[in-house]
Amino acid sequence: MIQTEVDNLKVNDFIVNPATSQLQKRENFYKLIILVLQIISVSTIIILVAVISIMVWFGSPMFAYPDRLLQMVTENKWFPEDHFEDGEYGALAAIAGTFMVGIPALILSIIWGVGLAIFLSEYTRESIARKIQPAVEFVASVPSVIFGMIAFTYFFSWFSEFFTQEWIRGIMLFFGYKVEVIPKGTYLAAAVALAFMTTPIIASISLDAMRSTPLMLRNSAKAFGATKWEIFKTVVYPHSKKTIFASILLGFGRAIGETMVVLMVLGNAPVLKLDLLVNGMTMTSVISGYWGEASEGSSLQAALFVLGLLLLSITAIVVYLASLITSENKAVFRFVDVLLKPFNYIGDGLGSMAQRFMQELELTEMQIAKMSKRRKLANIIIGVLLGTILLSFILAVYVSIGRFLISGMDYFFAPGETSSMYRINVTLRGDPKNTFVRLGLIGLFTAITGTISIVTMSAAISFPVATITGIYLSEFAPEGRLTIWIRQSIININAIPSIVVGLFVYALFSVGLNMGAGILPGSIALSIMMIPIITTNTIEALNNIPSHHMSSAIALGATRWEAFWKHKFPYALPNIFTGYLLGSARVSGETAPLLFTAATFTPPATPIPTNLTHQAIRVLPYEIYYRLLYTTTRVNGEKVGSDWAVAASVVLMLFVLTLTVAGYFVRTIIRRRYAYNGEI
Amino acid sequence: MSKQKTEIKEFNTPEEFYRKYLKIREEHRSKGFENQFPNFSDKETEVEFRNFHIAYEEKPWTLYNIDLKIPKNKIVAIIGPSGCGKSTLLRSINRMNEEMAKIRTQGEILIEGENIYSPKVNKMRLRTQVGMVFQKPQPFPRSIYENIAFGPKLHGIKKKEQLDRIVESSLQSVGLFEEIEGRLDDHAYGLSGGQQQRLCIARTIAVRPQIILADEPASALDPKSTYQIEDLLLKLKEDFTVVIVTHNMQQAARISDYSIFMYNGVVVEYDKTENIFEKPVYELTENYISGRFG
Repeated sequence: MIQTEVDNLKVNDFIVNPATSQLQKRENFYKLIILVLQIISVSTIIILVAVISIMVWFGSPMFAYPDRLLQMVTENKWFPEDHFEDGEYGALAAIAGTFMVGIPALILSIIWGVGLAIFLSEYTRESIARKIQPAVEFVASVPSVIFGMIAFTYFFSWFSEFFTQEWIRGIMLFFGYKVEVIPKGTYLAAAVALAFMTTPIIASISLDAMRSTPLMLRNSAKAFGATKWEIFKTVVYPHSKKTIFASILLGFGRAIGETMVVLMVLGNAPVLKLDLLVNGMTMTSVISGYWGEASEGSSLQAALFVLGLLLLSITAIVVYLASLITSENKAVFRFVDVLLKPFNYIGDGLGSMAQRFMQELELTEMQIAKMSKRRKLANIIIGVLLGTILLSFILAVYVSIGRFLISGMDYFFAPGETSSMYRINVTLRGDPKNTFVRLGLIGLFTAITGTISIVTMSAAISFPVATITGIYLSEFAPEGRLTIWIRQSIININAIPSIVVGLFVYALFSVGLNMGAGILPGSIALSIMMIPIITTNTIEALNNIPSHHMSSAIALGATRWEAFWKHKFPYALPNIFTGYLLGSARVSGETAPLLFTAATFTPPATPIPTNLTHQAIRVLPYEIYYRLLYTTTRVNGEKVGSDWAVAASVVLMLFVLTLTVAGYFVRTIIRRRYAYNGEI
Repeated sequence: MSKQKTEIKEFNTPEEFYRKYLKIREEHRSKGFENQFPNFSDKETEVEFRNFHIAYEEKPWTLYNIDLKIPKNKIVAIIGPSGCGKSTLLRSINRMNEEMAKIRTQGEILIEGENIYSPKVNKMRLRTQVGMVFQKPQPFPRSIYENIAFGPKLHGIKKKEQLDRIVESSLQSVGLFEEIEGRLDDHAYGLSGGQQQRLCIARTIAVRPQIILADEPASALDPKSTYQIEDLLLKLKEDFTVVIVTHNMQQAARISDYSIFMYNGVVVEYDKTENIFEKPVYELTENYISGRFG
């Protein structure tokens, strides 16, 4: 404790008088730091430019054959040969199929996503909504292979049960559609699985926008006696519509770029037919499906790169449209407004149309009473409708996932000849007595260690880059062209389909820099997926911390960096850290970018790869995919592949779940240590 | 004393307003009014504004032609309606404006005869000379000790005993040391609003400035805490020069020695506080003080 010889203490006993050289040093350090931040942030621009130019470069052999390019988008003949002169490269079925999956998925996820966002922001108390929200957001971190597995395992039987019922047949026939034999794997099944994945994106972005409606606006609408639905319609919707529509476009971009679900579910059949209950293919499934046949430098490979480029351009257009919608440009704003006008009247049909009509008449008190009754009724009906939408989503997703996991658990724990311990042991270590080393019966242990090593490595690459970019953008970037470019790059990298990332890393690192397939190119691919996630999260975490602490520190003579480092960064750390773990959870289930760059089925000699390059590794999601589609081994007449895939899915789910839960857990722990209890 | 009634009507920019103001001032002078700003000798002067202009980004001047002297060891209050540039004027003394947006300036602000906007001046050193207290109590979410030690540590004081003594003397001079009874390691958020604001003043004192700028330091506090803060400022006047922005007329009248009345980015009147409040020269000042607008 401090000595109390205080009586003679005077204010000016200690003069704080920093030496000029000291100040100069601190200032130079600040300048240096900013320079470093800037240089590292610029790497995001480099990534984007590199992706685009490599795709163009590797697709360029095909540009010499304009007729082939034309054929690609106009014909449905896909018979690639060694040379462009011989083969056929019509990928119309795949291009059409991309939208045949994307659009139904989009419609479904609009209904689910926007519906449950409205319900959670308007019809539920915020404390309750905040409890339901994680359940919705968790769906976003469920790996796409798992949804592929679910769709593959259940949707076929569910759909054929559903569509073969007489009354459904009758209704369908009434609309001129004759239900025939439903194949295993349809556009509809893929679309539903994709909608599971895009709904959380749309829901959480829309919900944030709706919540940010100024309380004053809400309250004044309330003061006029508006019902919940009317508050939404008159105040919340106009305020948040741009973001809602941007989020829908982002969800659409994600849906058409998704690979694993369509690869596992659609059956990769070149069917060109406007029908959702048939087999089909998409651009992503063609790229990944035909990749095995494409030798290096072949015309097929160039064609696949061109297809990837086409996919990239489609998603880029979608992102551009989204940015147009949210832009401040007045002409665009007006255009969007006109475009969205029909949506403003969606709710009007239910009762409030009558209200408009009655406003024109002279109203007696009776009529007013009647009218308000009708408005209240409309409010309740819409509330129930939205609640049903929320419930249907939660039920559909969690019943599917739950059933799937339970069946996976059965694999381990159901009574049988062998004990559970034995089965778990075999799943992890493999069956020492069994000679089917190639297929199925290799233990998952090396796949788990492979996943852990590749995620760790991509974390090591992407966390510094992404965190620094986030810090730079949110605190230090001057308003200017460079900053805008960096921002746009991050948005665009986020929208690059995962399969295109795989193609890019294959072309530049595996072939160009001769790394082959291995953990380094694989984790570079995952890093590209992770950088935008972590950057966005870092920016958000920093924006949540009030800036007045920094101002106070600056007023005490700190440089901007010192103020940030001491009095903003530590307070944002819990949320930044959570972002790390959630980002890792997200990419640990990524499969598509690893198909060409890292993954193999052959068991490695050591659990952790010894070489960074030229040593392909096993990873869990690839294991699931491979086992499901390529395993034909039968043990005692049973096809073991899909069972083993289910077992691997359970392990992957546990992995992802652990990371996610750890994310929230770590956040609470760090929050306690660096307690920031101030008003946010 | 009969007052000259002069209307100052609509104007757009501080620049246009200043032209009108000049005319009115000349009129007043020709009629024999004493409307010079107070003048101080170099020894008495702490801050001198010399034809100082400031603007944010490419917008027109926010402050136009500020030309006045702030005396040492006095409390100077800046009053005026919202948006007249009070806070901008205050923040331009420790160059905090440029931390919030891009600025351009014209003219000079002299502290100890040196223009603080000259490129030679180190902003960080300037801010150790000119401390600032903000509107809301904003202690760092750290312990009381760390809150105060942050500034001195930043500027190279590393010895524990020295830091201890600085923390102690700073807390003493704001009268907080006895109140917290040595619980220096407690979280600053455990203090009451008034205590937090005094902690912020102590934090500012800890780097030993000559000038303390206070931007409505009591506007977020209850009357009792407000009174304590006012009392404290009056005490601090012995060691520091205090410049305070306030919306509270009574507060300005109670504690300040001099008052600056600003309107639309221009200093309209600057005089001893009792003169401003009892016999303002301009009608605009009188209207504001009597609460006819604000």
